[in-house]
Amino acid sequence: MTSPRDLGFAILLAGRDGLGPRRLTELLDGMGAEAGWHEVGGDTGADPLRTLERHVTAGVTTLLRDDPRYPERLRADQEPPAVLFAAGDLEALGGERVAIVGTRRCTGAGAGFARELGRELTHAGVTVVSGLALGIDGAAHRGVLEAGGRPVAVVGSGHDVVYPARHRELWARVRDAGLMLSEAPLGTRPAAWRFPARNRIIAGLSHLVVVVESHAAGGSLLTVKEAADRDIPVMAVPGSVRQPSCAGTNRLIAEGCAPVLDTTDVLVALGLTAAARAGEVDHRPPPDPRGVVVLEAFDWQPATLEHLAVRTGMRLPELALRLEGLLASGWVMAAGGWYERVAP
Amino acid sequence: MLGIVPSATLLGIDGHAVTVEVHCSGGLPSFTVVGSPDSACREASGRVRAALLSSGCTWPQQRVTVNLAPPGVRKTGSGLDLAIAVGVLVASGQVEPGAVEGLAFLGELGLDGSVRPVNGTLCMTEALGDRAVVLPAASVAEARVVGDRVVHGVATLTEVVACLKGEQPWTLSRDEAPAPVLPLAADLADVRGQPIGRFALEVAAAGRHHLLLLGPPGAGKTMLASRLPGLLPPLGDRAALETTRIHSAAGLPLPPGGLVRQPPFRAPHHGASQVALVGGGSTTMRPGEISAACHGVLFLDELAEFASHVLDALRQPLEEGTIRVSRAVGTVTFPAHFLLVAAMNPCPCGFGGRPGGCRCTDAARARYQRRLSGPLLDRFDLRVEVTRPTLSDLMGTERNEPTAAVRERVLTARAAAEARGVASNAAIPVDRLDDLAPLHPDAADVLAHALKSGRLSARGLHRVRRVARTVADLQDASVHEITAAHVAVALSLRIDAALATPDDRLQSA
Repeated sequence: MTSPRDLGFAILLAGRDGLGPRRLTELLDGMGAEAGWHEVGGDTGADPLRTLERHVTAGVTTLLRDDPRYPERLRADQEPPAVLFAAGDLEALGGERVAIVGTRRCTGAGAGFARELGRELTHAGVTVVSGLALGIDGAAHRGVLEAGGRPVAVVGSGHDVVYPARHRELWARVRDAGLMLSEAPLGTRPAAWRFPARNRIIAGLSHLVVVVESHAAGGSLLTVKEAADRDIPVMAVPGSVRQPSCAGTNRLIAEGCAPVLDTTDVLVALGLTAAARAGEVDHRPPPDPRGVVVLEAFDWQPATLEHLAVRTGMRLPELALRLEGLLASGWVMAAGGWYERVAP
Repeated sequence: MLGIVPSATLLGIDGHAVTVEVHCSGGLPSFTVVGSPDSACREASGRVRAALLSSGCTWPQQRVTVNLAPPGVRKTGSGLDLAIAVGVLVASGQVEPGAVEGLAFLGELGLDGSVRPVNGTLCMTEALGDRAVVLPAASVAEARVVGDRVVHGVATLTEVVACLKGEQPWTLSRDEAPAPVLPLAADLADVRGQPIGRFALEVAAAGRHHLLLLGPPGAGKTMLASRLPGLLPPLGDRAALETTRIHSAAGLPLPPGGLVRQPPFRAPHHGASQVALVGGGSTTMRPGEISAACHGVLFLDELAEFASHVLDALRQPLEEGTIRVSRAVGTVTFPAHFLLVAAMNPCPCGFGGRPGGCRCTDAARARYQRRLSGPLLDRFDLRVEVTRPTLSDLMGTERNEPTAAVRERVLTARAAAEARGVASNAAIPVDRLDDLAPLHPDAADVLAHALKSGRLSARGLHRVRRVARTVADLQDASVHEITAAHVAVALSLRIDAALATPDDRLQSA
């Protein structure tokens, strides 16, 4: 087992600017943490024990590869994190694990599906891993929390540096209810290179990766590449060909990824029998006939007031009133000037 | 010898009477101007001397002192040239002192002796009381806007001298027939499709609600905005006079009749400096674009590209209808009562309005959003998403309603508002909302739900009620109670301008 002193130096090295995972591994394996710290010209006055103490007090466990608690699957990875910081319940990594990833700029429908997937996989006893980013990631975590599960999040900054700021509350909830992992020590700001790096950890931890929505180019496609490198199967959710945020996922399917049409597809791919869906009754009051005309004008695409006005041919006062009714009863949601139909 | 000639100078949009005193005495020939002149005034010596000589008069080889009284007021610009020249003529005995009795003189002199127009002639004429004013011929229409006034238009200094000497009579200014109001080239019927955008213009014009147009490039935001002035009624007498004074002081060209009747449309570029937009300047205190748009429309295209301190400067005018500019020369308050229309892309790539459509990096988008403060966006009563017209819209032959038809409705709605005792629906004070725009219980329900779901803030609530009042007026001005349909329309015309990602919405579900 590593001494506390060496552990402290390892933390200091992990937080050093410009030291990527590969170099860090080289240093730790080659000359050990303390020598490595001096090698890179680290401050000789730095106190490793105090650094370790800070992390322990904050509830962050520092894991090196020789630690028995270090995730087994990552230890065997082709590029394992040299230092892994964990907060929360490491037991959450038991069982089957599915990564749910996707674009930050998704549609409401995509976010809704990611949430549903998170919820239903949790009901089926599957662990969900994601990145706590805006959009698909956040929705997946929320779904897991809704079902009372233990979400697993891999982040690109220190445990105390919430990114994005808008996820402050979600961050805390994931930490409390599940497990948060990072390659960066406390206080590390989210640098651009840390996100592709953390994507490989997401891929590395999972048995299956599901991409819900992706633009033609995006971070989730990097995660797909990392998964492919590790022979981890990737599945994608098909989307409208008119929707820019589905271009990447549609292309993945065209190139051979299995499509996900509902949670059962994922469970079957994992080799689990389809769990009985908790009988979900649509609690929403049914809309009146004119409201249905408005709903159908959506065609399951986001639409502006203008699109709806033209497609329904309704006069604005009636259209606005029907739309308010649909918003109030949960059939439609508004995001900026666009409206989206909400699936049950 | 002493020559005393009345004239005026301009500060901001107000004229201040100035008495030009010219004194010729023995001593080495010199020419001095005292009495707080600015640099343009001080340069008058060169212009006046050359003009006098070009007009066949003699330049006194004496010590000439010009005093511009009162000394406390800073004299700006070249409008005092003519008065100084006449003063020199009187002081050197070339013109009888009695000849300038009851006359005031305004105008810049060219080196050839021509009398040229200056900014703010209207404002300066107002400051001259009952006197007959001698001014450049080109400014006659402008000066006659203010009441019945005797003005003599002149083209050259030679003409002035001849008239003063009694050799020829002053040109009588004739009453011009009122200039015909030209129809605007920008007609609403030119806009294809975009029914919501067109309706938003109608509501903005009818209730004087500030309007924000959001949408990708090429959606036609600029085209829509330029149609708005045509929907506004022509300016009433008081407003026309105020606007004309501002345009005169700013040096903007005035219509042939002299008075500005059509609501102005000003569209400053987003690179404009704060001084250009708001007014000021170190010496001249010129009114800015927001004042030039007084009683008209100020259109800010690419709102997010404006410097944030420039946008901040808009808060006082939007709130109070005036802008106070302080400089070393003094403090001036300009009127700035305009209808604000702005156009904006939702994000740098322009496609971020549509969920999942944005192609920008997070950093670029965050930087863009930061530039627009919440309080500024909140000022817009109407925030409307505009999308590109479809091919069938553009190629179709169906013509939408022309400006004239829509303006009828706008005028009726405005009359209804004025009958209630408010200048416009946008100006209804909060404590009178229940009086003038009472809510039907269903309408109150719709608002309550919007408040609860976070789509509406408390301040936004009052704005939506005012817009609902305008919507009701456009439909049927005799209806007193605001119905749920009116409120629903008002809500739909005030979208959330900040880009919301879908998970924010699902969070509250």
